[in-house]
Amino acid sequence: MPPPDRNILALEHAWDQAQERGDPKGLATVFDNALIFVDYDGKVLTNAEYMARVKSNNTHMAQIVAEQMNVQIFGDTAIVVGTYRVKGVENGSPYLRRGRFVDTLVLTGGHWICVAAATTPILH
Amino acid sequence: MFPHRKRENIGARMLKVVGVSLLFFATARGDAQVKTQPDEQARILTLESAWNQAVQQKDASALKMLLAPDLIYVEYDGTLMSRAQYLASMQSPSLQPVRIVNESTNVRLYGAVAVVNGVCREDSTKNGKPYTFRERFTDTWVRRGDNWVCVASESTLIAH
Repeated sequence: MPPPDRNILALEHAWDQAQERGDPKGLATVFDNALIFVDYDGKVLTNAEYMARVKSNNTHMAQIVAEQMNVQIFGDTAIVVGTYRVKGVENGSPYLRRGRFVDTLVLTGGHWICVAAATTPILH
Repeated sequence: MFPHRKRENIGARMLKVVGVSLLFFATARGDAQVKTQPDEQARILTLESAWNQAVQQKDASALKMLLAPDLIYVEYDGTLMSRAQYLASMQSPSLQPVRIVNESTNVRLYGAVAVVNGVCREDSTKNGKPYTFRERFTDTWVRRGDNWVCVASESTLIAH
């Protein structure tokens, strides 16, 4: 069995790909129903709202690159912190954003599920 | 960079250390009994308030009781800090926090893990210039023995 941090990193990469493809199906088993997602501008999305956004891909994310990721395990809790760069088009204008994210995952029934995710723009 | 959750209150440092210690005792003493979810949620919110209180008084000793040594802290501008870096940042003499209020909080429990989402408003001065901002925070707490400690905290400015 691969170490937990490898499983978690694989999950994170699958998450990025799902966003790029606009296909949230693979994420359903990864997200807790009560997931709270805090976007880069401070908006809060529930699990359903986040999944709907991935599906609609209304921010037209063309490319998401995880620049670095680190997993820290605290018993049955994992904290993933990393930076990303995303390119896309929003309201007809191209954008390039860089941010730092923190995801909280909890080991439940032998599976890691994401219970919270937040992103913050890197301003410096 | 304006370190968040910082307030100045030079006078009551010792009183605060004692107060946070008593808070820990008070929140831990019922652990031999079965805690209900509302009990634990209230306990976590008490610790969140203690965090704000400790920050406003720049009390590193009190904060060390609340924050795990391996804390992951992401500031509103994306800066990643360790606990030591966070504690050092709050000591800046140029920062004069005036008022920090959690406008809303929500606690979700997953066994020995608690996730707090909330909105914090901060009124402070930096180098003599007043500023106000609102940020959304996500804190993750884990139970260690009889106590809860925060292992991760991230803040994002509310732009809308």
